[in-house]
Amino acid sequence: MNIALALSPLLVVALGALLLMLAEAFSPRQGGLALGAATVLFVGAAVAGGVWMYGIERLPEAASLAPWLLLDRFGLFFDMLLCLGGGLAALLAGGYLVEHGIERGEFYVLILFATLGAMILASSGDAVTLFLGLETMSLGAYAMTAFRRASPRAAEGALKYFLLGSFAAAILIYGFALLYGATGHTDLAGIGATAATARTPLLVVGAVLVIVGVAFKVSAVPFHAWTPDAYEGAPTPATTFMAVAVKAGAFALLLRVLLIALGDASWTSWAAGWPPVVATLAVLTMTVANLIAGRQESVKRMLAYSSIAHAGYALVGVTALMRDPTQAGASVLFYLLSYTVSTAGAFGALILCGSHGREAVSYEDLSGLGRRHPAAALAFSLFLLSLAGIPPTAGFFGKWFVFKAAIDGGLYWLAILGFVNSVIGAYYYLRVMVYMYMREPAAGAPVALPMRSGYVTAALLVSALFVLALGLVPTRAIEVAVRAATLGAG
Amino acid sequence: MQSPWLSVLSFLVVSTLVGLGMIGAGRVLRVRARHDSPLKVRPYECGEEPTGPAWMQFHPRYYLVALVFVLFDVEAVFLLPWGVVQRELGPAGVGAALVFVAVLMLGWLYAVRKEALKWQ
Amino acid sequence: MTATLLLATIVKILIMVMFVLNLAAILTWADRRQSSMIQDRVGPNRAVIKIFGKELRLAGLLHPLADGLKFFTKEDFMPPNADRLLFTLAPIMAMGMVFTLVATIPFGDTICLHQFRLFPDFWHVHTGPHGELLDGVERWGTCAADSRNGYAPLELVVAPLGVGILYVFAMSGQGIIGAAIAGWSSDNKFSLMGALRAASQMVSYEVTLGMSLVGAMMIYGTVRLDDMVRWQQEHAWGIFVQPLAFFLFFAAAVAENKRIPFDLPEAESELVSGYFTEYAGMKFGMFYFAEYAEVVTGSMLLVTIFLGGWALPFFHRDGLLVQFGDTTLLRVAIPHVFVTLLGVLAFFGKVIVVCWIQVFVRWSLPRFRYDQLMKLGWRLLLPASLANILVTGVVWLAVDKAGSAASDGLRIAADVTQAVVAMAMTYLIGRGVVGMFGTVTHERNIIGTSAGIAARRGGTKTEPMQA
Repeated sequence: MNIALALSPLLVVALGALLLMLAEAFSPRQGGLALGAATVLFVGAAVAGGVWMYGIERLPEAASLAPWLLLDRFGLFFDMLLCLGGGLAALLAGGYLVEHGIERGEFYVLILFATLGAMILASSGDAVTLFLGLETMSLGAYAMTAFRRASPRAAEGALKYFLLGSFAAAILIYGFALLYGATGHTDLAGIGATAATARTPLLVVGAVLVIVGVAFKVSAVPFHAWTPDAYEGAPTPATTFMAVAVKAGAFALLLRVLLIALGDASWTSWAAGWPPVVATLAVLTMTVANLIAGRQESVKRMLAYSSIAHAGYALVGVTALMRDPTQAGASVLFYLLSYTVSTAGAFGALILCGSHGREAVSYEDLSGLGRRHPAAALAFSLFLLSLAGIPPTAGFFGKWFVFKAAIDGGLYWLAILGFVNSVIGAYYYLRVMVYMYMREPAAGAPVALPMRSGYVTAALLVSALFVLALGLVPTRAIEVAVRAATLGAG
Repeated sequence: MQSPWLSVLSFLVVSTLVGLGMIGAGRVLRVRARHDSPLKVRPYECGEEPTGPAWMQFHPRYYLVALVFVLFDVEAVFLLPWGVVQRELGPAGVGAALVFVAVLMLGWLYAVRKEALKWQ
Repeated sequence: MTATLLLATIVKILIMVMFVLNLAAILTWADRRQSSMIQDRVGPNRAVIKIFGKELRLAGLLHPLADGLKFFTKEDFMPPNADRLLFTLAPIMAMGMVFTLVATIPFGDTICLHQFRLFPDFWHVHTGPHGELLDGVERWGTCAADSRNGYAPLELVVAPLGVGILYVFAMSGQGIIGAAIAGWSSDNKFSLMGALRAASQMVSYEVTLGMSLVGAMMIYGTVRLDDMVRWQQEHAWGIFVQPLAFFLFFAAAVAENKRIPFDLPEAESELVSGYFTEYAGMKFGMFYFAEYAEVVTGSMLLVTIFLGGWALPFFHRDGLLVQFGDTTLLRVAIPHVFVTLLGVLAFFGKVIVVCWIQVFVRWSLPRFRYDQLMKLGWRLLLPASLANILVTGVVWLAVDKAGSAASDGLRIAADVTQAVVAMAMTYLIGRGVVGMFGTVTHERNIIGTSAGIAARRGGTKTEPMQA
């Protein structure tokens, strides 16, 4: 029974997804599953928390699933994170889909399955389960992107996402095939053990392909081309899910691969390992995404580029893994947590600003919001400040820990570049606030009316709570992240 | 015959040759038409004037069937090796297969309820 | 020795190809004869050869020959907008798949050739001291190989593949591609619709085809087709241990052949000829032929997996042994070469019988509607095949738990099924022989069977037909 306890976060979400699927198929009325989905995911997060408290070390049977599933604190941390992100997305969907007339129960089922996939991905220690989780996650996300069937933008975005995502998955699995060919192992630990000693060209090519595949999934520049279109075409809750859970799952994969399979000293050296590659990705991602984001006229697209830029900041922390895996890993985990709640909140606020018939997409739509709907404007401002990294919010400490890890690792230039980029980023976040508080809508122009929805409000409250809590007292969370990262390294 | 796959290959060659030979013989022995009338080369649509190209869009339900097929064919792929060693695995093996099949049957139930397998 | 085996392989390929080719040709004749019998008409009677002024009709047996000649000499028409490569490739794929599939089907047990003699020692009966185990020949298809008296196995299967049935699945899956590209490349809407229907029908029933065999594989514990037959030889035929799987497999195999009642892809009244509407001449002939060849290969599979393959009841490799449990009634030692040859005959005989049953089914049943077809495949056959698998698993567990008493009982039950089969076969063969010698009454005016039945019941009623 202990094995079931160790697996319980996964089991809760899996069973919940199946039940919800059946409920969707057999219930006479359409929809109304948002509550169920959110409940399942929050229960999943709570269960993961419970297992964390109980102590995964007290469940020795959990090791019997290794290397297929590594049930450690790293996995549990991501279980909580992903369930939180997925749950917020489900809550947002509960408001958004009904308001825009595309309410169908499959959306929630897809969220649950995709979250399950991401959780498997975060816990997997073998190329096979890893790919299984990746595909479960991605397929759900593809379908959610195309959820607005009547919209050509959705179809375009979904098709791009699907094609590029499939290529990325193919590249990833091809990389693992080469790693398998070079080492004779499909499990990350086995690859790591062999990769430490025998470094062959095959191994290097395999490692590069794996990193490229993951870079697609975290949408790092230059592999980000699908992101803006997919994010813009998808219904906003699906965008939230992709920005939050899919990205977190991909980062979990990246951390596992870099820490376990390529975590050896020879691979983590600046001269001959992956750090320069990841650092290049980080710099490109931050800079390019920030520069393009500033030029967007659509807030949704701006947030899409912002999510790319945030992947860049997180990659700064990933680069720092080369010196101190625990501290840098913890900084990435904390960054992902703060990014999750901030982004989910920002998208949620965007959802709240539009109502049936017209979504708030452009800056103009938001002008004068501060007067028309002060609460929505306030919430939006809070999350934008957090994304920009202004002090009393979660985003500030997220960036702080990541840059600190880079400085501790001797990567001063990377930290400075990250800081410069944060300043650039602040421009377009603050621009939204300028429109909300200092501009009035042009006379006669159609304005988006804010919607009313208990679900969206609840999601915003939860996100705001996390953003403030993490911004005011980050110590507890960073301790948790350190514990998670410690075990992840081992 | 060292490897049975060599026999398979020779069989493949034989069957391809039989096919090519039949077509070749047909080509040698065929009657050539003296006149090619425009009516003869027209796609056959029961005597009606053909409308539009034949490469047209068709109903997506064919894709649905193909998708469900992939689902259950993969299930079969997993069940085939299980079936061979099922007796050695004992009750645990049967239980695992039961769960596996049950999860997929939930998917089947969903597809049936959603009328993905129904032809209107 | 290698030369001998090479020769043997060529002979085996020839046997299989010739059997499939000829039986398929004869089946076209049998199909017509059967239909004419069922429909109360004369049937094929046009083809005639005149020899010395005498007209030979041979009960219509000349018709397949005439058909073949016609296929060769017809114009090889290709629609101007067709995809030329795929259009030519499709019939080759459709037919090549059928032939390649028979490579793994064993048509007889392993023959043990004496390694040091050119001609095998056919006549010697390898009896042990008590007449039980025979030198050089073992029950489970292997040959004893000691240094003095080495025997080389000659397996009566073209390709004894370890993957066995999986290869069969792989090959039968290719049939979809032939039909699909034929319809796609034809530049005709009927063809396209036919191809779509063919593809979706075949994938729908392919699942059942695979699943129904999982149950059989659980019983036999192997994927090798020859080992499956050996299991049936030693225990009981597959139809007794897996009755449901037998029917599922039969239905799915007929559906894969796209014959009535599953001939939706080529339904004449709806789609002209379905995916080969635009085909003419030999290419059409190849599709036509592939259909009958598929009937033969489907029957071969059915016989191998469920009807004991080459096995005859009570015949073992070392002779005839009539035994119920531990009670031996009769024991006759027979050279294994003879048993094997008898088995080869039995295999081909069974295949012919199953082919005939398929022909009979074709002319007895009406066609499904497409929605009924899908409903049957997905909502009835698929769950039934899964249930079959699970029930089989549970029963096996129960048998393993129940201990020796249960297995002894099963042992006797298996022997009883062998006896049942033996009696049924004897009866049918006897009936056939008697029927051949019975008098045939020729009637000048053929009265329809239905009219005859009506006459016996007191004449037809003249009621106005329902509108």
